[in-house]
Amino acid sequence: MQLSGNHTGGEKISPKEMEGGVFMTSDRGDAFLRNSGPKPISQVTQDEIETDVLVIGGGMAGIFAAIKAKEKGLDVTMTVKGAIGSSGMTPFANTFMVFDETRGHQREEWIEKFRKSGEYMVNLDYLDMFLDDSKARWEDLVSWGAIGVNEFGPVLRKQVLKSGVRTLERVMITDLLKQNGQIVGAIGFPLEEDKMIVIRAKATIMCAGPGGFKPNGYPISSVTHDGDAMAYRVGVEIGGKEFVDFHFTNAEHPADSWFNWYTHHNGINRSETPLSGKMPVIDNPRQVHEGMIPIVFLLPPWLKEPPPGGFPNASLIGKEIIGNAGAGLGIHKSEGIWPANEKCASKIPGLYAAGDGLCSMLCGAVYTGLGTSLSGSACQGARAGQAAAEYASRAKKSVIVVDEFGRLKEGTFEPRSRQKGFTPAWVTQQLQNVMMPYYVLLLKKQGRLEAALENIEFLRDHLVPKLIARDPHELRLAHETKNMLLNAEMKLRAGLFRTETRGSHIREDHPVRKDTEWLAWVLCKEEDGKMKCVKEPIPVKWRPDLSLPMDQRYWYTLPGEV
Amino acid sequence: MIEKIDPNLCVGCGTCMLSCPMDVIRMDKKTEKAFIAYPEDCQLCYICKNLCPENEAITISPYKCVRPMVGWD
Repeated sequence: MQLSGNHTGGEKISPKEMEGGVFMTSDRGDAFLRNSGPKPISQVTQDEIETDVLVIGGGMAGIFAAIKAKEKGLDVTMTVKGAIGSSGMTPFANTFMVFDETRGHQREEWIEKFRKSGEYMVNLDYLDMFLDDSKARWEDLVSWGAIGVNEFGPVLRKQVLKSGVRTLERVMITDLLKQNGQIVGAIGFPLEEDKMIVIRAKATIMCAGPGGFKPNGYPISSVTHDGDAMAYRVGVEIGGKEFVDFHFTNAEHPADSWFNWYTHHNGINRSETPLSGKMPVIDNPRQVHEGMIPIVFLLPPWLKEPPPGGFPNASLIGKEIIGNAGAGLGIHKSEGIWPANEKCASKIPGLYAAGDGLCSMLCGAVYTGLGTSLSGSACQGARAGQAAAEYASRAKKSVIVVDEFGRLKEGTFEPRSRQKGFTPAWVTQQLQNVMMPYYVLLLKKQGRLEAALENIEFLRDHLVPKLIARDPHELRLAHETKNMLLNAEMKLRAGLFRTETRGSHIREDHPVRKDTEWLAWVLCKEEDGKMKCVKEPIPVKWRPDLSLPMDQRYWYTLPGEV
Repeated sequence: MIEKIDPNLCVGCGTCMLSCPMDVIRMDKKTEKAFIAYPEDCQLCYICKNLCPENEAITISPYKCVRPMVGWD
């Protein structure tokens, strides 16, 4: 609904109700409202749902989590920002890695390849889970009819609906509900209505995926680290933030992301090729920094043949590419909620996680092989579904305290009621301008990271509290902007904290690996209202043999490494 | 960017609206056909076109709608 325009020259405007909002008067007669459709929080309606297991997210991890939890006979509810199977990053995956001893795969060889490719940041318990379960998850997909079809998303969606899971599509979840130190559900809103949805759950599984800064080139604009943000706000540690994604786009039409993959859009293909060497894209940031543009996409020399189904971006071989198409994304399977055990549980009772929203460190500091991500999500989703169902079957029903709930409702809908302020799109654009250049995220240096952090903190503290949302669509954008800023802060702080180079984390001012100090993970946590980074050493038994020279310990050495 | 949904070809099934990860598409209550509500949020993923039962109903160009850089907004 449009206002009649700027009022100037001291005109008096009488207050009137407009779709539930109040038209403000101003002494200067300047009453042009940015938010043409404000909604007082008191007029937001409410739906309440009670369930045993809540799954937040409808990608590969969420699909397996919901189906496996339902198989235990419990009441299961799934929420998705888009449609099941067609949301997040799942629709753009095309390889599913399967470890299969009947095909001659050697477990010890695969473990060594993953350890070396992940530069010793791989969590070997989650690698064991993947090696144990990937074949069974592939067989699930086959039995559901999701293999051998181009559009597997609708097939998976049908399977979830058939299993009896209650589904809430086109609903964004904004906050977890925490009572007496346990997670007891979540709140959110649908994309087409000013309504609050409250879901009381005995167990919640966060499968909301990872996120980015809505980059151009890789179609990940719907994932904005919502899961990390919700978990961080209830006291969970978030890991993996110093590592970055290396997807690239084509230079001719950099925004035309799907076109890059379109020639390989042929459904899910089984793969069995862990990395056996360096991925050439790792060198791109240093090359660009030297001004060596254009960068041409070449396959790694050790990749003798493309995986089944073709190599993603094969149409770009020999053509010019531009990196940071996944700006804001970490390494698949290596960022998100820090697990408390090897069964997808977080440290807070009642909260589980799976997929790219769980920091399983399955891939470590570099993506360890095509198809590990999709397959890893399936394995973790299934295990999380089973673990959450077991917990829920023992848990008592909890009562949500009204005051806490009221505070969260106001926080969720505030941009809808605010009458003047900044648009999420403009604030996101400023975030992108700070974070997208290669010299902030891909090739890091202390001064540049600190400068970016100063800007991000300003956006967080000064602009986010003044965001407006003219409708529920824009309310989603407002929350996504807030969550992306939190991710930006984590990426910058973790990037500053790890004072070495390792895998996809490249520091111009700390250009070598320091195995004596940095065989450790970096976690971001909230302490006294501020974000703090801590070092979590990897278990001693997972360390590499430090007597080996670097060129045997790793696939490649860096200039200056002894 | 999604440029056009041809109302002569659209059958009003709602698949594009439901499957768009970015909530770009909505259904017009009067015509019962899909329309482009928020083109600036299109991520050029082609999911809508791939799942549309009338593949030619949706036209997507390789360009993105980019807002101009201004002091505030």
